[in-house]
Amino acid sequence: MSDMAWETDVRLAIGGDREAFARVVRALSRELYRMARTLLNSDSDIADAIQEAILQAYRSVTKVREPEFFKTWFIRILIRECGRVKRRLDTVTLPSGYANEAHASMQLPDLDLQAAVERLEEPPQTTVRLHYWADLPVERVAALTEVPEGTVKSRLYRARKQLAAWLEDADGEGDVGYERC
Amino acid sequence: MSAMNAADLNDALRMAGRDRLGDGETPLLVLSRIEETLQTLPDRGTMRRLAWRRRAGLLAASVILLALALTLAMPALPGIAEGLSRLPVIGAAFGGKDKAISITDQGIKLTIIKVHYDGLILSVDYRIQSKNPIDWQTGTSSLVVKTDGVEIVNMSDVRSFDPYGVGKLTSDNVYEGKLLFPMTSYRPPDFELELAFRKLSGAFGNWGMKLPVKMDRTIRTVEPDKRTSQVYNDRGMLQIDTVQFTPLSTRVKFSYLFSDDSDKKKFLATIQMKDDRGRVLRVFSPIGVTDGQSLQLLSVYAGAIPKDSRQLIIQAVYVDSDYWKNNDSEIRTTMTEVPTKEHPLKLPQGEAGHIEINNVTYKADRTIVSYRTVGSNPGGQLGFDVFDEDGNYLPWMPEVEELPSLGVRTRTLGPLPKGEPLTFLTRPVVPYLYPGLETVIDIPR
Repeated sequence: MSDMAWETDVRLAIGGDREAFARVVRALSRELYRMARTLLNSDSDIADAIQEAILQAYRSVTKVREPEFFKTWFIRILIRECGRVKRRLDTVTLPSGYANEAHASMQLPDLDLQAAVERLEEPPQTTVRLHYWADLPVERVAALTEVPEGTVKSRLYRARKQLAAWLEDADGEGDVGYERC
Repeated sequence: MSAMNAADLNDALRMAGRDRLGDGETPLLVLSRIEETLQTLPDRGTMRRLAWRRRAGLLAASVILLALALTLAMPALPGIAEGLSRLPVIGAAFGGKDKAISITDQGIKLTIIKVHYDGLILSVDYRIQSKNPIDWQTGTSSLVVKTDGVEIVNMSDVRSFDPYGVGKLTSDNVYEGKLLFPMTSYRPPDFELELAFRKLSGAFGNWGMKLPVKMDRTIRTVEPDKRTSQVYNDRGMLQIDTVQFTPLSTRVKFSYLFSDDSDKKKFLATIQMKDDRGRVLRVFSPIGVTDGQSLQLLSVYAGAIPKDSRQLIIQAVYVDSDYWKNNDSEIRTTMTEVPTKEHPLKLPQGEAGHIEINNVTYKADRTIVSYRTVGSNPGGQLGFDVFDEDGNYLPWMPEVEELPSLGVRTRTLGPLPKGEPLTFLTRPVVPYLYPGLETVIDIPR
């Protein structure tokens, strides 16, 4: 979609045009998937989260005041939805053999990096996923999670410290560094 | 993992992210869900109406709370208490998911016991209580169903709400049933359901109500290991991608490749879903013909799996489409004595198999026919008709039937004179051929 077509469709979508909204979402679908994929493990959970994000966005799209921030606004909704799905999954105990990937990896005695990230508390876990896995700079993570950049940096620092501790036994803390923008 | 400094950790985390994303292509499952969601977005007018109703509901709740507070605060003022008791309670006609609502007209009380919606199937449990015995043989009913103002069902003068309903007489005056509607084209997270029964059991009246309905998102998803969920032989390949179990439906996404050109004869290829006890949840419409290769990626659904099922079995089925051309006869078999297990009455059903009637019990208020089905096509072999000695058709009493399966079951007719010789009518049933493509999914508990 060209920039002009995108801008036109975003403005139409904000004006309540259902078809334009659908076109914008289709254009965003790859980005939505990649973002959700960094936050959730299973494609069916990703589909649930994206579906709910689309419905929520559609309900409130007419309240968007700044079309240029449409994409950020939409991805914020998706991140919140992924968080909801993840919390729901964390509270469901599945029988053995049907555990999702997250649960399955948690049961492994040898902790690998992905499993270690999944053990992090929230919100540092989402911050790590967005910064490292979605490859977003600190200021973009800050904009998407609606916190100051300093908070993102300190979350990343705490997360790295924790990861180092898990991955390098007891004396692994210390050399975990501060984040550069 | 060896000791790691900050740079190593940063690199490792970024690498893990790249591994995780792979090629980043959006999978079919996600793309189809996005498309499904976009296709079913309500228009703005509907959304405005829903928003208005939500606001009206909140206003009503506020009025009720205020009234409640006033009632509690001023019980000593009889004038106020009397005034409050006369206030209309806005929203009282609206019901929730588990809140029974009743309407009585023409001496018939209709109760909506429960409404349930899982994003694909809408079910409505209801009860009809009549002052007079319910005329189940000739009394007809009419029903209109709307979702967010759009009509989805309009049935006039029907004896039963088939294919959307099941139910049974629990006594002469009480009928309990369930309506099931697939919501294939409009599936919002919440909507307003309007039920308008205009005729019940032969009596004209007005049993109408509007109910807010919200999606129940209880879904258990199984993504089977491809090593076990994929089966193949020289006639094709069947692979289950995802199975979702909800309180009302079973949804399966699968790939089916049939490459069966070994036989000269062509068959219609389809899929049957059943449980480990042989109960058939659904047989789908033909999805292709077995000439040459065809790969199908399908997303299908069936009703809820029974609570006591342990496994879901998905199997390929071949059907001979020419079978009906030469087999459209009716076969009448008359009973000369009451059959028994030892001496059953055999009702032919063509190449699919047969039914064995092994008892007929004559009671004061009903007649029970016990039988056993033997063959290859559980759903097709279920049906047969009954006529009395004078050739009059005898309708089956309404009852909640079990899912189709081979084996032993009973059906019930109205009362008949003891020993009334019955004539059974069957038709040739197309046999099912099983090409050996079958996968079994354990159901999570």
